[in-house]
Amino acid sequence: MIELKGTKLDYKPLQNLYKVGDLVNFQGPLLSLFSNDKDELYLYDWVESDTKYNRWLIFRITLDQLNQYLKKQLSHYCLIKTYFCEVIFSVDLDENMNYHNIMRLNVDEIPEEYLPNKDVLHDDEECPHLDKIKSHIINLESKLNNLHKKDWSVKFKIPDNMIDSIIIGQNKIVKQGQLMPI
Amino acid sequence: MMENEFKYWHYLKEFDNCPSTECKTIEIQAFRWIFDDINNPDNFKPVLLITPARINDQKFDKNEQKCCGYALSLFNTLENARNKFINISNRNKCFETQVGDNVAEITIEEHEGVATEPSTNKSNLGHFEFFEFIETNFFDKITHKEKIII
Repeated sequence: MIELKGTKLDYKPLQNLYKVGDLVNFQGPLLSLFSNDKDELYLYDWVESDTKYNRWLIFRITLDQLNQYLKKQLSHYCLIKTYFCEVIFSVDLDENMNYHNIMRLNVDEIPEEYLPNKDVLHDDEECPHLDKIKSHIINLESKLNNLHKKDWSVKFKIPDNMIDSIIIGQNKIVKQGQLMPI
Repeated sequence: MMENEFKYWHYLKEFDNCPSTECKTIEIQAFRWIFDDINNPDNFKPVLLITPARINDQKFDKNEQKCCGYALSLFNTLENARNKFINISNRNKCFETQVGDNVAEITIEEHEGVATEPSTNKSNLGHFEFFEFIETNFFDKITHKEKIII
């Protein structure tokens, strides 16, 4: 395995992630989408293996990035390089899914060998769980939409039964009724 | 064919319709990624028997996926084997640490096992799964081996 520069951690980061599905799979996952109860999105990106471990990079992405990636507007390389958080984790998973050699890396500490070619895009045919992933996205978008509504409802003291008559789009609010700013 | 003729019957019997009744005996030249060391024991091992398994979650969601994990992954042409390797390596540059960076040509005969239909998906063209019978030993049947140049 390539020796990584970075900070070694003695705890397992990002507990309570659950798998949504694989974005790339060939005889096992190569790039997988995970989430948590805060609806944050993370990728497990396979990078290397030896006789004991498989090494994965784990990093957070936004819903917007995921959507752009699925529409081939953002490359796999850009998902890593235009990271959402300032850290990327590297973990070595053994046969029993135990975590070893947990490292925190800055993006510039990722070895060149772990980065995909710059032009590699999403391919529906490589993605066995596309339906599951899309349905997760729809679910998240719906939750976000409801949060937006709640937010406006509180801000402008709009009664619950009127909030659906407000159309939110492109950062503009078109109202059907009297807005009452606080 | 008798069910217990399969090399990995011990595992296959755990799944429904495994191998699928659609699998057929074949007689073709086939191509498989292998390590430079022709005797590497992983060269002709089904993916689920290679350790450590490349998994990030305990669950397999498809019976079929697990069944095929006890088959050998092969391609119907050298070009298809090479293209898929390059395609994955463009995304995962260390993919060769999993499967080697050579491609071996082997001759499959009817008495050696059953195969799925080769894939017609563009991203996985010509890929098929091969369920070996007990006596099959492809280590002795490599007729050609070459390094895949990316």
